[in-house]
Amino acid sequence: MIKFQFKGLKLGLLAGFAALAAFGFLAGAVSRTEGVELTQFPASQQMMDDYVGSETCAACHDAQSKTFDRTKHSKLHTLSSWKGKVVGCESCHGPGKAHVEGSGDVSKIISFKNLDSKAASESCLSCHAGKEAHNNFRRGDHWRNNIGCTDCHAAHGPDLSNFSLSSSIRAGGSSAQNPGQAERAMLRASDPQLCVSCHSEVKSQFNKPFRHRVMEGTMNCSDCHNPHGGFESKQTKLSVGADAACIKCHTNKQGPFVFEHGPLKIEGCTACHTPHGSSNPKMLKRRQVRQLCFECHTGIAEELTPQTPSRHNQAQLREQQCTVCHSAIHGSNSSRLFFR
Amino acid sequence: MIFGKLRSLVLAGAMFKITAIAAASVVWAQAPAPSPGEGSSGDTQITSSVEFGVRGLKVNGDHEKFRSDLNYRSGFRLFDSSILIEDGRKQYRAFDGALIQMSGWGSDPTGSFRLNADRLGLYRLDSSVRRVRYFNNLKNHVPIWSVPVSAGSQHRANTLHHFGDLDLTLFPESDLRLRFGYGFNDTKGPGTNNLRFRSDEFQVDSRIQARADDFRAGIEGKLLGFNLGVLFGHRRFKDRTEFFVSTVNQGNNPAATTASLNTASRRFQVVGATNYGNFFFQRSVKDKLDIGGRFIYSQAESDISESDILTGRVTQTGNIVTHNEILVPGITKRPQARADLGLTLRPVSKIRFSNTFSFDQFSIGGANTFFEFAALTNAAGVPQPSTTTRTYSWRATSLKRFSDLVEADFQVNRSFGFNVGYRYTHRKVAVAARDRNLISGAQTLTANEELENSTHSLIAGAKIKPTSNWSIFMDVERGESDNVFTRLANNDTFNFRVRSRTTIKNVTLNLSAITKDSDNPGTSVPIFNNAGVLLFPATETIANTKSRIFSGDLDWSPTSTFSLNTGYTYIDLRSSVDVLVPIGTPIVASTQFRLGRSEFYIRDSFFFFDVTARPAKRLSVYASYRISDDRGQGDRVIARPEDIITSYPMRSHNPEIKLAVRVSRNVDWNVGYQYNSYRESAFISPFATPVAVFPAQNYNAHMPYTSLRIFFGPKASDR
Repeated sequence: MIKFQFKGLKLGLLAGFAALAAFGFLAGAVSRTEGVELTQFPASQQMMDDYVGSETCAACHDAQSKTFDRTKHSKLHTLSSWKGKVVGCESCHGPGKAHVEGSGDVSKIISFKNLDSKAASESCLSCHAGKEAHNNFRRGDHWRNNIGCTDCHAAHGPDLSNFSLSSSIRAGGSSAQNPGQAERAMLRASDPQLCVSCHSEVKSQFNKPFRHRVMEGTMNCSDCHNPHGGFESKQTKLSVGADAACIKCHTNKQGPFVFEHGPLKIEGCTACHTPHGSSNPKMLKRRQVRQLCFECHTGIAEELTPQTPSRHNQAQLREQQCTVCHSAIHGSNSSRLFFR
Repeated sequence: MIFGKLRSLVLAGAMFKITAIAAASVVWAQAPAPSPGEGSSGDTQITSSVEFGVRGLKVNGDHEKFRSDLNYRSGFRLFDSSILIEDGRKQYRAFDGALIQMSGWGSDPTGSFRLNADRLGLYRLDSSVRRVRYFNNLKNHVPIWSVPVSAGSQHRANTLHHFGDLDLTLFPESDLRLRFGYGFNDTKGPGTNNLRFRSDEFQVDSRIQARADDFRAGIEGKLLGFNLGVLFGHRRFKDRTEFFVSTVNQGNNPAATTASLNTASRRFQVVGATNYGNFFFQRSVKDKLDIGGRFIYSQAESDISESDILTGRVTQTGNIVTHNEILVPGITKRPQARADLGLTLRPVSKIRFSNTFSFDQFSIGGANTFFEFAALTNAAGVPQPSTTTRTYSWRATSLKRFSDLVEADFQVNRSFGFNVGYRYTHRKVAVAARDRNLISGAQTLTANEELENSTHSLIAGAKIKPTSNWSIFMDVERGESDNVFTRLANNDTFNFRVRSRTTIKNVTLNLSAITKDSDNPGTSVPIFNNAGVLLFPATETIANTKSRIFSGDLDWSPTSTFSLNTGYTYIDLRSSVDVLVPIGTPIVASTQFRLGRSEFYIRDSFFFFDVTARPAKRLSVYASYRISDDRGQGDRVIARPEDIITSYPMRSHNPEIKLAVRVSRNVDWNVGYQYNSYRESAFISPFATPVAVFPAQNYNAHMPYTSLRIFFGPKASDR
């Protein structure tokens, strides 16, 4: 039988990483295109003369203009708080006069196609950074891995297909006839379809017998994760002040308990559970609960008297079901051994 | 239950009222009939598709497992439906856009209703109400004590869970924003659990009843160049779960001399509240420096009142407990403070330096008094001395943790950027316990323990764009991670992840590989018996977990009437941990500890495809197939009583086909069939007495369905 060689695989992956990095570096150097530096847009008259207005843009960019007209971005000029600010296409793309006079010369305007994700995101963050959900985009995993705003959002409004037919049990994506969050949040696709388009491996976990009903549309990825980053690992959200996201729905696990089970609050729910999905009952990380117990409680000394029949004798089937006795395993208010 | 059903009916009624109002609005809105794609200025435009129908259901095999996994029912159901109303009028409009999404109401186990509405400059509303019918009764999880093990679980649940959220932001685009929110969680329904009485365990019925309500209010704005915000919240929760038996229960220990439970009533009364405040700030200085931070303070408290009244027979002596009363009042508190500070400096456009500091601190303090009174008689009914127990317990757990992450990233050019970083964490956990016998006044337990650890790790990542339509993302982490409670030492970790995303014309290909290695060398604590005799010395142990995930996903849409999405994922997880396992009769005469291995394996292949096609103008077809095949531990078997080697070998597959016939401009008739097959292996726990075979919980389910999807709006004919 051929054994799976993890060590070899690790070296292979590292070699692949290095090769890809080198290739990418070279390819990047060959196809290097300088991006246009983003600038602030002061509303001085001299600068304002360089702006041509969205109507001028629409003369050539008709398709983008039509979808853009349906977005909130296109209506900002109606707000008193936006008086005197640049609105429309040029609020992101910069002044268009030189671009128009240059017969559409793309080097004379900010084109996001020529910007890396972080530079493109800086443009969005100049307005959107102030809100709590977006504040820490620069601290998130997406930022760290160079996934920018425009990788998920369509700033001109999403271009949704008219034709869609989907499963009877899984939530369909947004379409022109079945609009969803993609339409309102200017996403390229609805959550969770958008998320799993990159995180494809979680599809298999959400297909397991025990799972959170994300693909069915009852939950969204963004119920537990903040795609815009944050201070928590895996971009998870906090609930109820500083509790884990799980506690928001699993109310009776929140405590505080008189007798806390240490891992619950300190290590978190994922010490024992697989949140996306599992074949194991209760989405546990192991098939048998006793495995999880033994892997931490190596040696159950407290209750054991060797000369008498032990309560933890693993030769007895009855004793292999830890939570039969320790049924309040998430924490108890009356039993130090989590009996009730 | 009646109230639960009423609540569902009320919710469903409200949902359909909204749908009806929207549908009525549709008729009204049809008149102006704005041209598609010309925006909505001056008109109200509605885009909607609502699908409803019926599902049939036939389940062969293990119905309890089917319900635990899927829990579909036959009958009416609402499919994935949505209504988007866009009001383009300049005056007298309640919203610019309102989106209503519904799914799963009726015979599905999960249903959701979401309403998002906004008016530019005035408000934004996001709300949802969701319902989960949770069912769990498995023969291989806490099984009922009988051989063969086939009667189901001792921990069952058949609950109805409603939860929802409403968030309202006033003046969302202005420099001063007000935020209000409300959330609720409500779980109720029957279940079963265990009650421990006189050294035996008894399966008892339970009535689960827990609820939480969450109120939030806050203000955000701009002051002195800073974006500032503060949010206060109050959450109250209560748990009124009850446990009871109504007939004589012999318990899990089948021996004739052991305890029995004649009557039992246990009431938990937990009422608590969490008050919290969240302050954040953020400022960007000349595009060069971004500074952001957050401070959270929360305090959770609960009042506990447990009361038990039990009667039954005492182990071994055969005495009868005529009245056993337990009262446990108590209180708990958990203050917690978190602070986070992030700085990002961009001295030049291509280089960024970041520092992220986080601090977390909480302490959990709880105390109760335990009072137990038992009146006994002997088997002949002669009163025996009663017993009274009165103890006081106090526990405290506190944690202080901080971490700091320093990162630098360099965008070499548009095609290549990389980042490197270093993370340091420090954590201190202290646990203290006091138990006192309130009758004798003796201190029965005094324990103080402190655990402190630090971790260091290096991270690196890169994004490469070899061509404009091909991106490769990769990151790697090498170092340590916290693991104080698990093995008394840090995990040595190595995580690597690479993703590739390529789009060529109408084909998108995703590939990813994720590896995680975790090694945890540790030393077990020496084990003594009650007499102080060393049973097992401190021993070097190792815990090792490796996971490999390879995934590929392809999207192909060659024409506007055909699309294919297919993919494959392979997950290989191997966990092997040294464990000290107590083994006694009948394998060895007296119980002893042995060094064993706890191993767990996943070798799961998952394949799927979804195809959508329109072979004729009035006919659309959807077909999908999903198969998950976990080969688990393969031919590995348990050879020693101290070893625990498990996996969950199973295969499930799920084909579905759906035909949609366009009946008119606004109506499609759908007919479909879905099949679910689930197969698992029987599980035997060797070296256990009695030898039990946990039966395979196989099933297959046939689910035909038919439905009508009604389209409204100017684009209805475009499909």
